[in-house]
Amino acid sequence: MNAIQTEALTKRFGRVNALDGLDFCVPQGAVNALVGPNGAGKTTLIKILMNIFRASSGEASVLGVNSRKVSGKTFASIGYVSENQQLPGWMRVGSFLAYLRPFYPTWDNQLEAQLVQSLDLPLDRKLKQLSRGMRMKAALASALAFRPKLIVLDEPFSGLDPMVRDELSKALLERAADATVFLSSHDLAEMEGFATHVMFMDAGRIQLCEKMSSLTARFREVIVTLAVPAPVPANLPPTWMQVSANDSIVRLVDSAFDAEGTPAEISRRFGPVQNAAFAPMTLRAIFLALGRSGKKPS
Amino acid sequence: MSQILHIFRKDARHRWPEILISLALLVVYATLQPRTWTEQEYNRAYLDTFIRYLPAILILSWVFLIVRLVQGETLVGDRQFWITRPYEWHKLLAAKLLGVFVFFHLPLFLMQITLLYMAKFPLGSSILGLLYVHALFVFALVLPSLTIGSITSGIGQTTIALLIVCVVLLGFAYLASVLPDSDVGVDSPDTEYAILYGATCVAVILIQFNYRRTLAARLIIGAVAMAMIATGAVWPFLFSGTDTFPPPKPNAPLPAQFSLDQNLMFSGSDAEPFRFYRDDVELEFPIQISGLAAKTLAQLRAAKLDLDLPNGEHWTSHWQSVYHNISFGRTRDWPNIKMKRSIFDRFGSSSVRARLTLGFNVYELGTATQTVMAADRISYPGGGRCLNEISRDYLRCFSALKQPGPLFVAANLPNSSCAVSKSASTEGWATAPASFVEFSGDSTPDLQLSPVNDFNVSLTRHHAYEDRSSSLPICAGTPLYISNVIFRYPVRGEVDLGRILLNDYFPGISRKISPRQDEHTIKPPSDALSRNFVPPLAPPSSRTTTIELKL
Repeated sequence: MNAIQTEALTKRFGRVNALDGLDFCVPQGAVNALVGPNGAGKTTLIKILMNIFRASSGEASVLGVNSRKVSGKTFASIGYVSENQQLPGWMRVGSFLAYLRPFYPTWDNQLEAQLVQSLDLPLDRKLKQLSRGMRMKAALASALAFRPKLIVLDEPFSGLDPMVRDELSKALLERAADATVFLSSHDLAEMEGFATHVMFMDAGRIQLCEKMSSLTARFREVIVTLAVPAPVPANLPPTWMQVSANDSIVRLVDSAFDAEGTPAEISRRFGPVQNAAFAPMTLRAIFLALGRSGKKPS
Repeated sequence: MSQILHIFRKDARHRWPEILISLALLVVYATLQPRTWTEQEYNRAYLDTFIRYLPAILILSWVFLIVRLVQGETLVGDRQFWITRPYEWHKLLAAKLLGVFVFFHLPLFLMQITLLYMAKFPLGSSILGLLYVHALFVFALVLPSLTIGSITSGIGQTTIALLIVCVVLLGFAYLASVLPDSDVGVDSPDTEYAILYGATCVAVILIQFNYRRTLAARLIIGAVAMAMIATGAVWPFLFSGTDTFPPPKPNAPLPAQFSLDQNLMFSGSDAEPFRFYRDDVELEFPIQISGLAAKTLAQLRAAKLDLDLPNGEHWTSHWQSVYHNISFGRTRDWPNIKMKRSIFDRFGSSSVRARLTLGFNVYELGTATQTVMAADRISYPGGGRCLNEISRDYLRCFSALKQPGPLFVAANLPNSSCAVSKSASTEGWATAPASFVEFSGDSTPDLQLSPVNDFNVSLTRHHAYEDRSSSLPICAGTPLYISNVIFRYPVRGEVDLGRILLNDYFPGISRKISPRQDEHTIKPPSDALSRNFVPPLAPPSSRTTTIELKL
């Protein structure tokens, strides 16, 4: 059973299609990074999964439960943290954790203490007196201490300083071993560190959804030095993006890199090659290439 | 259950200031309430003002407390932490209801029990009544507060919601002032309104706790409010008092004969500089009464005036509420009808053909008893006691939870031992004895904070023209004739006023009636009290005296 699965999931706000027939699944145990530009529909998707919004059409299931029925006891297995979540500011951190404790049969006091210590949470401070970063840490501690089966995070690192991001990432990574994690973020470098799966959304559509290892394996930034300068020929393979030629130097991004096939294809298209470099790409570089080319890679 | 208690404990910790304020106000109210029974006044004006407004402040504090309890887990918006936690909506609602019970109902109930005890009313027999009062509070205070709390997210939104409620209530009040009386008939949609209001509140609360669909909830409230206002505006035209007061039948005749007393009219009002007030004028018509059956009481409950205007148009006042009691001995009554000043200005001095329709509730007197007014206090039939405050011309009465009734009391007042100053009635007294009538037969308690019901009984006697009456002091030793009152039937009757000048029936400020009393002879009936309380009263006890009425 997949931890999350959707089928033709659509959400309309008036005439605007915020989500446009999404079909995807997140396997159990995955750390799935949901990335995309602002307004791509990431938060809308997460809110539908958490039954905060209702889908206009289509279906989604979370831990096997229809997203429209995700409520009450289902949340005993889901740890959800959002960047703009309203916490009860009048509560102290300690009493906030103590208040939540009885709601979760699986609450782990030792893990709670461990999280409080590792995240350096001030138990006697009121939540409203905490900085944004500290509030996020408190929210994360409260969402991890009951060992949820599914951790859903909406922009958890947004606007936080590097120290806090690092602490949050560490805490999350420690828990990721026995849970499914589904998190949205702008911070691609952060995702690269621990995501096993990646999903790229743009304009309410999924542009890409695959394993991180497969994605990074098939994308290469290619720099070719031709023996004889040549123009960029027509009818290039659809997997090549951002192809440019400057004298004898040709640059492109190959989204279906094959150690043997790609060099041969380059030679066939451009003629004799003096030198060719195939550099692995960062997640950021891959999505920039995807974004700029406007293509949906195969 | 543990989740309910857990949320409840959190709310109690969080909302302690609101809880403390409402409890403190309740204690102050309970402490001051007994002083109002003896009408003790405070030397400081601000304290008197505070006490006057204390019930309103107390109710406001409860509304605020309940709203804030609900807003502890705000149901509006999508960013609250709790909506993605394992809250079960029915347990959340139960926790809020527990809060309402513990911080509102329980303290109020204890306060009411304490006041009943202090006023020396029986507690055991009052418990059911108190529970009924609390059910009324659920309907009138808890439900709307829960509803407002469930569709607002904070104090700002709550304030706006309360302002909107005030505007809607003012809208209803305005409608009531400009439309024909909708409370004339038993057919008025009060029950339907109550059901609709209650169902809407419950539906909105359930929708919000279960689904958090704030927009839908607010739209439902708006739609229902609009529907109620629209219905209220149309209802009086659809269902008039004609349905409420049927024409007389052999087994339900008119209680007496009614006709226009053509000898009486108002005069001199033209010279009055303030003859009009606002946009309405009120006309009064001297209606002669004859043949009121023995042991019969009638309440003139509604009246309608129809005019055939000189321009050929027909004008109707529609049914208007009137509350005039017609007991034995009465020879005349003055039904009053409001009409637009613009109509009166146009046709006041023209001859118009007029027809007055009167709607009555007919009652029958039950078995009468006679008792003598004691010096200081007297028991009120049905469970209550009254203090005789002779200096105030009325009995100050107290009862548990509700005013006992219905009841009719009559006495020969003023009498030789219980005279009043001559200025009380310069025109002399009418033939009908002084009386007090309470028609309300509702056996259920009223919605009020204090369980000690405080009401006045004043015996009033009409002046010679029977257009006005005065309350009279009841001296110790005065025999009182007391009877229960039984509702029989409603009925309507028509009085053809013929061609009249409306100006003649506008009292103005001076209320000069012509001709004077000495020009217009009133035929006094025989002993009205004795005639209506035959067979002879119960054997006289040591406290019973026989009186002779000299009318």
